[in-house]
Amino acid sequence: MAADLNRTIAPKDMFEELVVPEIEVLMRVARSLSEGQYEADDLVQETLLRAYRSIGSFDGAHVRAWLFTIMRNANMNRRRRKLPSLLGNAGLESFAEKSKGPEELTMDASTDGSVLRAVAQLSPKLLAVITLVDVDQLSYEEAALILEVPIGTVMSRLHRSRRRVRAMLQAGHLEGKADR
Amino acid sequence: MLEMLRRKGGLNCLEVARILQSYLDAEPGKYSVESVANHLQECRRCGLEASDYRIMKASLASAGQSVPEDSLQRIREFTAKLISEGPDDPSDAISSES
Ligand SMILES: [Zn+2]
Repeated sequence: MAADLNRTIAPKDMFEELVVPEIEVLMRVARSLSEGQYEADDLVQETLLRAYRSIGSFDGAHVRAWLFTIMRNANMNRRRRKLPSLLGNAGLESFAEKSKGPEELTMDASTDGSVLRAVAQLSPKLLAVITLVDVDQLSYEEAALILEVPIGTVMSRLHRSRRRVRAMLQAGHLEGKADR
Repeated sequence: MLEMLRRKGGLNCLEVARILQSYLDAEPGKYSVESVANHLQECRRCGLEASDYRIMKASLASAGQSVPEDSLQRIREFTAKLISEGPDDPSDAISSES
């Protein structure tokens, strides 16, 4: 079906059909890879532009993975190896103010945004993984693609970040640094 | 292997700890969903841990749900323009192809 699409539909229509529905996902991921909203929007635009240019040679399969690869390359071009800063801490903090958690809590945590404040204190590598998986809802495979690490690395970093966040929440000390 | 352990009476805490994240994220892996679920129900310590992680996940997921309306608007306009007019100047757009 995807291959069919490629043969019978013009690139422009293919773009509308396949890429446009992914825009919000791209925006969320871009936000995780950028310092602020403007930078994120810029990254999305560049990704869309590149996608538009190369959609003629795209076979139509795994569109999200294809877009993530484009975004990753675009992002790398722009900030040469600088680690994703993941919303910057300021970004997460502002989420923390707005966010409300689910009803059934065993921890004293998620109603007041302390999960987000704890997460914001993780080291950039851990922050990147937990944000991509838990905030942006990517699969391990997708996160691995974006971060250019093996899937096993995603898993171990994710496990570490969650253990750390949980420990911070249990200890209730959200001011100090908990990088390692 | 896991299958054998399960038949003998389920996973132990260490085994659950190793696969708990994948289980919570509904990621594929070499584990039986049912045996993890059983352990989480029977073992208070692991059950609480899982429930903490679920809260963390839910809390973070709710933070990621929306993108700012004005940004979305801008990107949509950009996209519409891209579709109707094509990329305006190939030379000034960042190093072409993906
Ligand atoms: Zn247990």
